[in-house]
Amino acid sequence: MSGQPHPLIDAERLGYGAISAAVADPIQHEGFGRAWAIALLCTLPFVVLTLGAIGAVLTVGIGLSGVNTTVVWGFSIANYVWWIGIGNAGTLISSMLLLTRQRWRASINRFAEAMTLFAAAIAGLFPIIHLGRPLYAYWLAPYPNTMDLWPQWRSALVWDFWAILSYLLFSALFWFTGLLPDLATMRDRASTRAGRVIYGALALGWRNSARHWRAYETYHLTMAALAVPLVCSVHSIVGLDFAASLMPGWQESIFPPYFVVGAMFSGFAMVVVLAILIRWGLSLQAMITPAHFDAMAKVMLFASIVMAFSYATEWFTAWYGGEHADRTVIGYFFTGDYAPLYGLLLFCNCLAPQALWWRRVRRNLWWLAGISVLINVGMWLERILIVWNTLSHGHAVTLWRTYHTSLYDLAILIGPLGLFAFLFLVLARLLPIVSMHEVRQLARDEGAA
Amino acid sequence: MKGVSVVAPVAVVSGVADGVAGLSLGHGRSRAGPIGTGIGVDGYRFMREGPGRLIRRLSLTALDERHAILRTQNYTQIEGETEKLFPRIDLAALAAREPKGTGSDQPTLLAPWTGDADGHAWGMVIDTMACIGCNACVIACQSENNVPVVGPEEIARGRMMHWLRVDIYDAGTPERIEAGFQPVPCMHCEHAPCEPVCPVAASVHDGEGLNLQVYNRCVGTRFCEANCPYKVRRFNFFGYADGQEYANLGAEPVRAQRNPNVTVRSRGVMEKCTYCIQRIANERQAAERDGRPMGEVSTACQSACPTRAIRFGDLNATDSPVAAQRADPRHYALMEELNTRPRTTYLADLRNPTREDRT
Repeated sequence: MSGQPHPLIDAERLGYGAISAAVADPIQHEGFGRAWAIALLCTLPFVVLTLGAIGAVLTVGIGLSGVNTTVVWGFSIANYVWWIGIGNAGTLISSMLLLTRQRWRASINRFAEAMTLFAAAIAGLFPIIHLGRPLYAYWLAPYPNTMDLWPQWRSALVWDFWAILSYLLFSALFWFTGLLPDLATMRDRASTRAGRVIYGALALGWRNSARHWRAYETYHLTMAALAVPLVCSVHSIVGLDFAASLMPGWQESIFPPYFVVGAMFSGFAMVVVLAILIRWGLSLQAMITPAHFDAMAKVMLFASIVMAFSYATEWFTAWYGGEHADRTVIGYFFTGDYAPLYGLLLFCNCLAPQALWWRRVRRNLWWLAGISVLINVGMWLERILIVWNTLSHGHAVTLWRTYHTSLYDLAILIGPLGLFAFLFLVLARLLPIVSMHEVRQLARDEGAA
Repeated sequence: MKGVSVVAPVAVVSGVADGVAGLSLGHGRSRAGPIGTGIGVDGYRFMREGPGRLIRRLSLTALDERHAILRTQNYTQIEGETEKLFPRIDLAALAAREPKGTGSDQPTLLAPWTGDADGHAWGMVIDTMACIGCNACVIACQSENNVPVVGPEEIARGRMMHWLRVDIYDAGTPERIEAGFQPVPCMHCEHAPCEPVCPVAASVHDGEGLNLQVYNRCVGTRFCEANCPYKVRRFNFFGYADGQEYANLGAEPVRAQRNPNVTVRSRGVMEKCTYCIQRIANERQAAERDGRPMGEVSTACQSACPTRAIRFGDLNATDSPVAAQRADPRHYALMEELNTRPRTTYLADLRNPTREDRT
């Protein structure tokens, strides 16, 4: 590998035309063939499952979930935190890596941003369908009404409402405006009138002029600068949903940073899985190279160490703080009803990623895919156990109870994964999945163009 | 007894001698409508003619079957820090004891308490020494406040609706139990943890120290119950009283039996003990009508208690018996260390250890 002239471009020469053709032609001319159609068909049952589960819970009631009087939160909350975390990495890749001039991001940032958008949209569903009365979810918004009623600003859930809303708006805007030059390319290469009209309308009159590029670069950099604090605030506020409470195991000041890193951790793992699939599915070996995976694996390794340190801090402060309720909850982690799951969590999040210390593992896609899936499982377990452990083992000793997982819970766990894949497949058919203009620039900088 | 046999599940509990089982009369009815028919086992089947109720020649045989017995009252062995939840003291300890849990002995960043601006300050004191664990308060509350019956499937999922529960604490050994009972309704905390977490202000305080749940404002996030250290809030996971009733409880004549003074809660809202706010309102209206100050108000649980373990009243009233009980050396608040400043407080269980050792 090291003998290659351009580590980030896996080809001797990659001209501008070749880049555009590699990305745009499958969409416009070549078609996606049987594999794409079969993949789409495979995701359809999951879409139906998701819609069916949502329909059922709206019709019958939240009692379909496994929640009970003691453990009043469950899969919906864990899924929400997990999906928001998945979205987080996309924004981090496109903004933080842009700001720190990590050029390797060029080929993966487009689908990382799309991943953010879809993940945040899916995440946004969960707080609504977890409500007892979802039809009144809009009461969390401060809208003018005849009773002069406002939301209750001290509640972390109101902060969360704003966090999700601003995150969704931001990621949609950032993703769409980042697409503009590529949409113009699509317009110019389109062979049908419909293609020219639709891509042309979406390109908002992009003419590739120096003035356009100047405005675009300034705007994009400004948005990227806004995104970094936004990403941190979104997940900090998700952490505050738990930390701004009175419950042992939740009331911890470490939660906001720990949630941000956790989100980055699971998000990068998801990007790796998607990158492997997209690279294989769209034959983009020239643009997504082992060097990309190597860089992302290093981020995951770092995040894994931070997570392990956070867990240890949690245990230590509970012991050192001396509060009986906190200590018993930590004891419950290791010896209680969910102890096997907690052990699995520690294996997935702390132990397994240590293999990434080895360069050969970082550059072997099979190993990397396995570890990334484990990280995503581990991070989901972390979120569900944050909910379960504390609520099952709170202050009221006489009301300690465990959670009873229901079929509905499994449906809203598995269904959205397929929905996410469905959205991605549709996107890959309609829009360039790799940022053509940024790869062109990269090719030029690398001297490959 | 010849010819008659019943099969019933047996709950193994401490304090019952080996080879002994208890069976309550009144269960196993054959014509009680969809809600009551075939529930439990009919002990009357052992009865024969004549006035005598003593039945001899009865044998107990253990079968291989296993049945889950649904219970909402959890049984807690007192050990370590659970002693703080159910303190038990003897006379010597009583002499040295000061009343605890009456308020602001903890430093706080919260604003000073102004919740009793309207003149009344409702409070409740429960004497754990007097409580015999009969559950009459639970049933009285259920019938007063239109608390729905949710059925065994929901209970098995851990979704009971009773607004108060009676916790059982045991400090003894299986051979010699020392059980104590603690009814736990809403604490109506002055610094209620449920209030700041509600995003739509459905959990609020009124001017008389009551922690209110505004049903038609509730959207059902359940954060209030998640954050309640006492876990006294109850959620309508289904429309238990609102279209998805258990068995025949949605039938017209059953609905007509509800207390007209109490709102029936819909699906997806949180509910909880109100200190029988409708009874407070009744007394307020009667007092206004007669032009006199408000008199005594008693809650449903208090009225039903055969040992007068529960006492409710206005802490601001002159010669308030509840206020006097709060000055009792046995007085304590549940989870006082959380500084929730509960309005429902307790009197500790006073025991005579020497005497109990003899029995």
